[in-house]
Amino acid sequence: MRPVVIAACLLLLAPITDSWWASGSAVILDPRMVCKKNRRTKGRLAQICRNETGLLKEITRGVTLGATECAYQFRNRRWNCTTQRRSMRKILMRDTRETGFVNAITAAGVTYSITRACTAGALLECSCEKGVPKPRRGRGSTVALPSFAVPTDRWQWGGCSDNVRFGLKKSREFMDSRYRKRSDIKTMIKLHNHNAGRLAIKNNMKVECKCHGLSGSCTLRTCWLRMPTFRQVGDKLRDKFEGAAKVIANNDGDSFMPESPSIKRPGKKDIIYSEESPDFCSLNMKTGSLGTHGRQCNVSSAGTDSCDQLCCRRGYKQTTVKETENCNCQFKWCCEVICETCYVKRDIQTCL
Amino acid sequence: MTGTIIENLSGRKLAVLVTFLLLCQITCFLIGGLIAPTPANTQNILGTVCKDANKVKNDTSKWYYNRGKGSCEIIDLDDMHHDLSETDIVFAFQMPVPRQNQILDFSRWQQNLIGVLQMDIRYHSQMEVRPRSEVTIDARLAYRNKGDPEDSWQLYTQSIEKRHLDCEIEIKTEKYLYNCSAIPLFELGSLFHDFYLLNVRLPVDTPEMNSNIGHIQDMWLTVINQNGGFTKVWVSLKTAFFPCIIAILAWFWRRIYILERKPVLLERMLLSLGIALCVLNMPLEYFTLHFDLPFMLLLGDIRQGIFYAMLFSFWLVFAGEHMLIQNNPTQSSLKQYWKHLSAVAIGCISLFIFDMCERGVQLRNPFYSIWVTDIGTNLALTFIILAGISTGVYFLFLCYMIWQVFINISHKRQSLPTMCSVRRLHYEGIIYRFKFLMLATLLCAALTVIGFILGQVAEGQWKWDENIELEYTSAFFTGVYGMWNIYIFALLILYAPSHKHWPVAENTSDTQNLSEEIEFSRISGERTSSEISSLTSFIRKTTID
Repeated sequence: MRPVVIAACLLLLAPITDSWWASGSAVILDPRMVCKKNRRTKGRLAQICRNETGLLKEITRGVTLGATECAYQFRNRRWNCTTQRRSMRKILMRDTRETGFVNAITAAGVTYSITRACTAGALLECSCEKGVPKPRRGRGSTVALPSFAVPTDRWQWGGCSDNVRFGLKKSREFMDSRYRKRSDIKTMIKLHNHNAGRLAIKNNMKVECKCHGLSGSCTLRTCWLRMPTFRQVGDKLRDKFEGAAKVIANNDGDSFMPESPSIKRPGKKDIIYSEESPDFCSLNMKTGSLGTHGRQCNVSSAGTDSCDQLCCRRGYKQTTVKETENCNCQFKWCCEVICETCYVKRDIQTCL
Repeated sequence: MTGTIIENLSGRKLAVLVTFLLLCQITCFLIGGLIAPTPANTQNILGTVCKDANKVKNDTSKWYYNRGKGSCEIIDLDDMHHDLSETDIVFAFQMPVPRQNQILDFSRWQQNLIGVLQMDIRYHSQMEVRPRSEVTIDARLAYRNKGDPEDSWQLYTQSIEKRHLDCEIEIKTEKYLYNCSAIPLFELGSLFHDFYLLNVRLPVDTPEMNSNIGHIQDMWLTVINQNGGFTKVWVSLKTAFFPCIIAILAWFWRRIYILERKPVLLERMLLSLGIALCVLNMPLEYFTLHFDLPFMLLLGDIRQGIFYAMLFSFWLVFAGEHMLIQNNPTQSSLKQYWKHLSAVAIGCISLFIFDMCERGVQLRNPFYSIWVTDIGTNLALTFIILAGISTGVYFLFLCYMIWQVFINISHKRQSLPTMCSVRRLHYEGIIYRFKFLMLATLLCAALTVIGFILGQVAEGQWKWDENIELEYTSAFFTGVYGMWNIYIFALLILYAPSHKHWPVAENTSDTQNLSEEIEFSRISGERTSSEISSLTSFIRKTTID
């Protein structure tokens, strides 16, 4: 009886796991497709594709994480970062602010996901290098550091690097190596934005310390880095999106500069773009805009989700709905939620 | 007529010795900076949420882990599970985490393990975390060794602990995380086994227990262990210093032994200081490679404590013995210094009690912390404040005494011009060398303090050059350690009784000084054998005058 049940469960699970692979986020970046296309190439990307299936799974998870965060950050905007194929593909093909944000948050998501998996011990291949590989010259005369062939020895001698280093490295290898050889403005912007996304994690690592010297005093203090939550990363990148800089190609062809000379050169952490965004008010398949028709807006808000802005001054329709809602909930660690059911009457505004 | 070596050493020899010791000092610093890694290593481990399917929850033979044979069923806390209760959820931390497709294991060179827990708590408007709410943790630690089957975890220790949760949040929005401070969880004094596993449960035995801790999304454990490389360098330094200090101590004692007189207080203090240093230098860490010695952290604290207590007492006696205002010219003893030394004693004893309360109890229960309960916190603070006050009092005493010594010396100096040239030169030399040693002490203390402050300001590594990277923290530790060894080494050499007699021949060549010499030896002759240096004899003579 038992094997039958398990088999049935597996059968039930199979479509779910499959759809997880090909979920909406796959439109943004489908690791399996990337691997398929780069089957014959050599190098680091092919290495990730060939034998590190665990890594590939984390990359997929990271892309989904990025897409979810993107949808959260843009839930109140005209463009709501939907992963609908016909919209997202168009967005990614262009080079607008939105494209920049999606690229950045995807790179960040991949980094985050890999780092997290390493920390949980779920990924076996996380590296252990400590310090950047140094050039040999000038070193010989000073004290030669013990070199280790086996990571166990290196770890027992001086410990391993923080996992985020590995996450950053793998994200770079997977996301960037496809474009390394090209140097058109679009590729440059893409790589820049990928990097900006990764930096949003790297530069926001929080330092935590613990004293453990003589009698637990601070004569010896050890610090470590803690990854920011992905929500914080999303917030940072949204700020960068608001202040994104428009750039044009330089004359030499392999760098870019701000469109108007009066603007400060965008830094490494900034998101850049080269095309103006459409207004996303009406359905336009060419730009990937789905329009805001039928979106819910907030009549009392003054921000981007106000009915005025979201509906592009077309006006809105007000309906009253009766909803049941969980209210006065009491949570108990871990899994118990005791809620009352309330009936609420709510006015809903939807764009025309 | 005997003085100490420092008085009879020629300037050139002194310079050679000082240069040699300085070179040793620089070597110690560089060994730490260039060879040794940072003193401690950290590892972040994200807790895997395991489902405890066992009916009996108190079974300590059942362990949950996420790697290897028999790993647990993993659940995702992001979704609400209505079929689970809090007793079904186990946060598993398996350490060390694997790297580069290899299973790493702890080495005994890594000495100790400290665990710090951090919780990611999600904000829910209906379930806010109250400030200073208490979390009850059922923590179980297991170990396994290389070669054991992957599922044969053995219970190491188990405890139900309470900790305070300090959380704050800036943006009170759903799904944002609280910013919670880290909770010290355990401290293992020995890292004897190869693999460790921590299972954390949050029990709800009473309605109040764990009721205000919000929705825990993730749990992170940061484990800190001493680096094997650092231990190796450290133990090598100890192994090198230990015989050196033993040898110089034997030499020093032999010198005193062959004198006719009994050793004076300062010599006995020097001897005990040397012994305290030997105790500190003893490379006991070698034993941890073969035996499970959880008391090594405590022992290390005690050894350092004894050394510092001796060093502080020595300075007091050193200053006091040159104070020159003594009512009884006979043998001075420790009893005269009881007031000053009691400051050192109170400080050391209160720190010792504190240490016994924290690390001593941790021998029994590694999860114990004195800071958790209010009474414990007050008690710990009392002892620490007491130690702080007595340190302050001690330094006031010491500064006052040194100031008096200097005033005395400058007073006596005024009478120098009335003496004849040979004697004056000689005494000036002694004062100069005495001051030189005072300066060395000050320099050592200042360097320690400055180095410590620099270490706090500049985190970790220093880069001077593209190729040379200095591990500052390690360099500071080896540097300071080497410095106090060298300092005491130098003291033992320079303050050992000299066998040289006064250079009579040179003096007699100058007939003018002959009477002087006679007078000088008369003064020296009438002295009891109690004085250690002719500086004290000189100043005593002038006080008699």
